[in-house]
Amino acid sequence: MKMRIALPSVLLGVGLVAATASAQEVTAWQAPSRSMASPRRFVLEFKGSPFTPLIDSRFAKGQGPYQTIFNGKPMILGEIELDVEVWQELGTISVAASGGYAEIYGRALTTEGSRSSQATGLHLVPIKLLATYRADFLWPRFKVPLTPYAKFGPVLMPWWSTKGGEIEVVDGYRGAGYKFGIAATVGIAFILDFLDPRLALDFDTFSGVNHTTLFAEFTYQNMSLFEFAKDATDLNLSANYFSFGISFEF
Amino acid sequence: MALGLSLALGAAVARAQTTTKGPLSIRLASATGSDPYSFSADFCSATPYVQWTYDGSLGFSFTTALSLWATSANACGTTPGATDLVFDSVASSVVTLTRSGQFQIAIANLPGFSTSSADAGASVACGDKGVTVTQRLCGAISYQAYVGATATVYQADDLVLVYDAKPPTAPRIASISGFDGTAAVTFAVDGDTTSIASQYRRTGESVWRVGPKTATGTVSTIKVTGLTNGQRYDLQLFAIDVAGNVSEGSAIMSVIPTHTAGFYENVVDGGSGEKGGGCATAGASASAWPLAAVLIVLALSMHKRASGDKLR
Repeated sequence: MKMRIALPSVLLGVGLVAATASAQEVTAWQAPSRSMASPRRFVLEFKGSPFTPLIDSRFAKGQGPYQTIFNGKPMILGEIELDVEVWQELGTISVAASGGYAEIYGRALTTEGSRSSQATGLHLVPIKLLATYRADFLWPRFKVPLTPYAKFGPVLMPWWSTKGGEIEVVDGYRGAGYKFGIAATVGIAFILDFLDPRLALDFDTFSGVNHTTLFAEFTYQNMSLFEFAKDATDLNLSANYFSFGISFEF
Repeated sequence: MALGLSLALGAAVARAQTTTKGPLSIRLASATGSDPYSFSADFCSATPYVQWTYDGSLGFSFTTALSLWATSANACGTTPGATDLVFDSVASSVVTLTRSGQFQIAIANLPGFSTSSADAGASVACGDKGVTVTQRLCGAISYQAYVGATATVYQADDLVLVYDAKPPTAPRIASISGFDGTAAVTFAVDGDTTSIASQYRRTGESVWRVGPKTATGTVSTIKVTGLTNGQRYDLQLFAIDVAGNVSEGSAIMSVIPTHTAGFYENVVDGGSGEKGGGCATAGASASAWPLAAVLIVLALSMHKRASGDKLR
């Protein structure tokens, strides 16, 4: 439905531009007008993060299980986020859902405390529901190719720990569960349309993607706020981390 | 028991000038469908049924019956040889109308065990150890493409029967490691091996316990679980080939499983919280439902709104 409406309007826009090309040359930095662009409704983000959960925050420095088993190395968190734009006036407000996965492996310890050859791992699946605000009027109004944004919402994070390829069991208790918390994110996106507005318009014409951006963001994630949601294993999966990625608004 | 076959059939007719694998299709299908079909000495007393199936056109004009035979030669040809074992032929009308049927063979009577020599000229009987004999089940029929045409022999793929009484080489244990209640054995096998079986016992005991079995291929490690930490165990592996022959046992290796503490145990014993992953899962799962319900409702409402909105 979107393409059926978007294509004629964009083709019409392209035709108008061609008709006036002799009278007015389109410069490289000129952004396409809103009338030429297809409607915006979604934002799809792909991002990666070095993710180090604050599991050791309750331990003496250097003696926590994360440092002991994984040498404190960060996990690699990959996330996909889909925003649905619900208000487009001075900036854009969206509702978003995201899902991700992170894992890290180390070596289990022997009773003497040395590393064995048996692998042990931690796996996380952060799932977020977010409210998002993007100040995306800077590009069309002021030709500033940057979009500051902020996100906020609850986080559900299933986790499990493995040893020897299976979920680790300690005294009959399985090393798996869920954590709840909140996440707050601030970031800034660089609009790639700035580099070649005509190419961006062509991309919009043929694929419906209005804007492509590269972004960097910082997330404060607190997984210990809700007392009612605390489980018996007080595993602190809170984290403060940077993410980098690419987004497509369409 | 139906033996899985896929045969090439050829007619024994004097006027036949060519053989073909054209649109006419006659097959012998087995329960396993494997071709070649490998079997061990344990199968020598078997008398399996072999099924043939005609998949071709009803309009074909067969000029001979469907002949069926077994040979120890390298190829079936279009007619049975002097030393081949010939089975009852099937009338062409039966081939056309019933389109399938079966016949019984006695494995021990196959010509490869009675009239041919194998393995450096020694006569082979079914049940002999350490030898491999390859034989074929064959079939042929001829037809006329049109009235007055020269008969053409149809020969489908034959079914290769491999008597494999040669056990694979014993597996070689490359390494053995003791983990938490587990022994992990890395092994190497020859190309004839299709699976690995294991046995284990406490060192000093005489009775072996049956261990896990695994198919080889990309797998080169087998894990024996349920062991007691601190107790020394003997382990031994056996290679098994496609015919079911079992190799000699590998060298016996010993290992002592030792307790290891994974990440979760370090979390629990490190004092960050009480033990209770199981409770954690159950409790958290229960409290996850309200949030999951909210997520679902919001997603549905957003979808509805998105569908109903005018494009902006």
